[in-house]
Amino acid sequence: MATITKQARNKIWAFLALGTFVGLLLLPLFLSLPAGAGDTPAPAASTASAAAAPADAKPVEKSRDVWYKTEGPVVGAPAPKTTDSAKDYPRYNFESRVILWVALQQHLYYGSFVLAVPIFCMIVEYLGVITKDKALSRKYDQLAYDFVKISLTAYSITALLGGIVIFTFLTLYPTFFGYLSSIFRPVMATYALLFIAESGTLYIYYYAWDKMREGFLKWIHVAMSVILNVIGTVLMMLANSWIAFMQSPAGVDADGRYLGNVWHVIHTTLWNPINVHRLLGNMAFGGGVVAAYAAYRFLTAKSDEERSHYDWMGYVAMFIGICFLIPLPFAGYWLMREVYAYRQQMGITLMGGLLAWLFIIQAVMIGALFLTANYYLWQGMDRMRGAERYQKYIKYMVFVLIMCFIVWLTPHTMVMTPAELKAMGGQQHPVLGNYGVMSAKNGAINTIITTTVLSFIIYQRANKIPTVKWAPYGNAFLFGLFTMAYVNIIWLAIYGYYIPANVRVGLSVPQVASTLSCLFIGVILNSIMLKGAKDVGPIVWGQISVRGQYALIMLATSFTWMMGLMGYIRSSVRLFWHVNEIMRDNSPWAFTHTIGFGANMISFNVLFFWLTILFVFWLGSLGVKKVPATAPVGQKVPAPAGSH
Amino acid sequence: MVGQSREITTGMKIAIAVISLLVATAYFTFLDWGAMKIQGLDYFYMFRK
Amino acid sequence: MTALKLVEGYMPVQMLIEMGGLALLFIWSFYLLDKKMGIKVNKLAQATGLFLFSIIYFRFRIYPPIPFSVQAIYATMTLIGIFMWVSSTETSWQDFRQPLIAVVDAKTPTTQIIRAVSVVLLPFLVGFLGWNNMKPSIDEPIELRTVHPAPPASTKVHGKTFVLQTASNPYRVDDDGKYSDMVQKKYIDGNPWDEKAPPYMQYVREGGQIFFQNCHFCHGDNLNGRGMFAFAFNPIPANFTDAGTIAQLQETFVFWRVSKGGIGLPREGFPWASVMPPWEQHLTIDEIWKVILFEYWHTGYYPRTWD
Repeated sequence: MATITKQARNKIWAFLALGTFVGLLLLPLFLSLPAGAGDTPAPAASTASAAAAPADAKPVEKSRDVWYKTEGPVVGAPAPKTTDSAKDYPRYNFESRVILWVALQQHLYYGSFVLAVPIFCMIVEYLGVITKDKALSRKYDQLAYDFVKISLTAYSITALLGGIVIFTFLTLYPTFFGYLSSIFRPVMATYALLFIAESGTLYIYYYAWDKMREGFLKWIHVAMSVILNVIGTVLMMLANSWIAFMQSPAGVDADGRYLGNVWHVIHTTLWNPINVHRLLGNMAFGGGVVAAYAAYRFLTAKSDEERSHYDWMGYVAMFIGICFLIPLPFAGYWLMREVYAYRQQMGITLMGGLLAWLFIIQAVMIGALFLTANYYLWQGMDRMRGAERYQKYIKYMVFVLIMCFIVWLTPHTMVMTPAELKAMGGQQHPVLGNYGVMSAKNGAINTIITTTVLSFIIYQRANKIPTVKWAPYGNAFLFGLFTMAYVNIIWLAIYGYYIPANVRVGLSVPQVASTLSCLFIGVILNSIMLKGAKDVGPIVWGQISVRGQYALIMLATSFTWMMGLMGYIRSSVRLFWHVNEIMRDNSPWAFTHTIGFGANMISFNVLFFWLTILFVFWLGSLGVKKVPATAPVGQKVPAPAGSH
Repeated sequence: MVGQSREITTGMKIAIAVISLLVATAYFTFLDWGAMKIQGLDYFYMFRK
Repeated sequence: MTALKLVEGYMPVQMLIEMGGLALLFIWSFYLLDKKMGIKVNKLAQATGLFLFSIIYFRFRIYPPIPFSVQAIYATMTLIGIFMWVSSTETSWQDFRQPLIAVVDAKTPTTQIIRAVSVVLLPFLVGFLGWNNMKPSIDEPIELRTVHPAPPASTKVHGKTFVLQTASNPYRVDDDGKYSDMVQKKYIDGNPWDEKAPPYMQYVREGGQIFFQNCHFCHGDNLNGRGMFAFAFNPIPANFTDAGTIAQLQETFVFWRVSKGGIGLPREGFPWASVMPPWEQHLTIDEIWKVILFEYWHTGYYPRTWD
């Protein structure tokens, strides 16, 4: 009896705690709304007063939204016309833009890391809660805890860098910053409050870990991770609204005067594509960083237990990262489509004009990512007995991947000396020129992703023999599915050359659908088939070549570099505008950097980030006594859901 | 082993493979057609006069 | 290697199939050597052979010759692929490493000689590469040319403003005189000289006449950029039969380029290497539209559209 009442009391307390918690979370929202209306010439207030007293106030000037084309009352000042002077662009004896670039990029790296890691925690902690096996459950829980610990240090660095960004902005671009903050004032206030809420939640989440270890409290703890991530995501979306506004402004008129509708200013046409793309990108990036951390610990490990633990951790992180990497190209495709729909010029500058060379570098990086992911999976097959059956197929997959990359990397416009140009007889090569266009690229990348899925399916089966009755039929179906998917993807790529562009662009949808069919049908069918399958041998964590671990580090570095590159592309497509077509950049740095300079800057940022994050890792390792209770080498340890 | 309760001959294996290829072909053709249809486009554009 | 012809129209696919076939041949021949004849070829030798072969293939088989930058990309990809292949399993990796380790360890007289020779030759090789790299070249420097710069939002020709996103070719019309995306497909095999040809074909014929009076000297009578003056220019004129030129562009983009010519290239179009005259000074708006109509009809490509 006594225990039951104790449990019931616990429950009540838990509910109360959660309620207070949610209430506190919503508080900033309630606070920010009237606050916005009170001290700023906010939309509601001004329209209301204008409607109430039209007689004695001078008539409110109306103007037209540049994007939504709606009429609205002019409540803001026009975008300032800057001049190249110390007033608008105070400066050190250095390029201000580059200083801001470094500050922003570092802030973004840390920001995405601390946004991604709690999502990992949420997933892993949840896995721990639902797992029946006690030892396993504890292992998951410990992993999630380790993640948070790393992210805690990174979180304070993020805040620090955020401060640096604001100061840099204020001191180097005061006029521009003044204009942006005049429009986004209520958003910025909300942002600040949410940031406080995020900090609070994160600290409670971390420090209450041990107190909330059992029973219902654990569930609340899991719920807290959900809330933490909701706040984090909203924070990111608010920050995205600023950059989206700079790229595709809305909610202002052609002079840049704010029209009083804050939702229009936030919800610009590129906002949601950027939100989705960034969320997925953060996750892939976070996975990469954690995997690199695990690889680093693996390589420096002294004992088999350590190696086993960090091999497993690297695999889990890599797995989550790749899960988010696969939809990333599709999100990117959506973003580009929206860019083209917004301004065709902007799209062409990105993909075919001034910045096209950067996209070729991006293609190389994507190539590196997928090759590395495949390579890691193949190396991981060393952990299992029975994998020999499949290893002989690796060479064919390597071959398919390389062929696709040859197509994928063939530039549309080739770099060549005038002599080579003459020898070739024109800008376009009669054979390779055909690989330079979208049809071929789509075919290549979809084949690459399908092959990656195939690698994963083979990895899943490496140490298993399916025993279900319908296994032969299942295998035959998998064979048919993948064969025809390849045929279909390549056929659509070729078909694209024979039909007009407006029909051709539509072909990418069935191509993607084919790839996704393989991913979902293939992986699900395979998983069902492997239910109760005969084990040839256990997964021996830690028994993987060092090459596999270097692959993880390579993966993480590619992610970091690519993030820097894509951010640079997205930002520099505005060319000489602070806010596209609204506020012109009249500083002496309103030019596009050379490719070499850009690449060096990105490399510098990547290097800087990895040096500082190594410091964070080192800090994290100071507090660790020993690797937590791990299963002895050779025993079955968990793999993420769906992998076995 | 449960799976071997019924012997599967090479001929049957080929038959199963061919059938699964046909099923997959039908599936992908339908997918292509449908994915184009929802965009308001005609998958069989080239084959229509 | 060019004795075996690449088949016009199928070249890209043919090249991939050829490469696939060669790779299979390569894999199977070593398999046969090993399993049937008992000759085990070391992985390092296999890898080196494959790499050299791929270099030769890209250098000599593909015609016209491809620029060095692309060859370098291909060679790097091949090298990465070879590395992934030899290191995919532990046994194969050990096999690959074995000769290298043996040379470094140098336990036998042969390996000792090889090691000594390499130790002497390697610095020379590095030195040669350095020298070769630094040596001044008489070639013109590489120019990263922006071939399709972003167009302006609108362009003004003969006092009339055309918004590039919305304008359309007034002669791309069906029999009833309405704009049609399908009309080119319908008359792709039509006869422009037919007395009773539909309006679209009449316009194509007129466009063709304009083309042969003005454009073909440079762009060639097959529209492939090989006109009689073509090789006097650097770069040579655009090849419309290529999948990467007008096939990638909106009709209004082409209209803008034809009207404004090389001197009308925007800031982004550096290094502005084009001698095309601004045709608005010689042709009327209608003539420009008609010649564009002809170019698409003749090449069989369709202009890009955005929806």
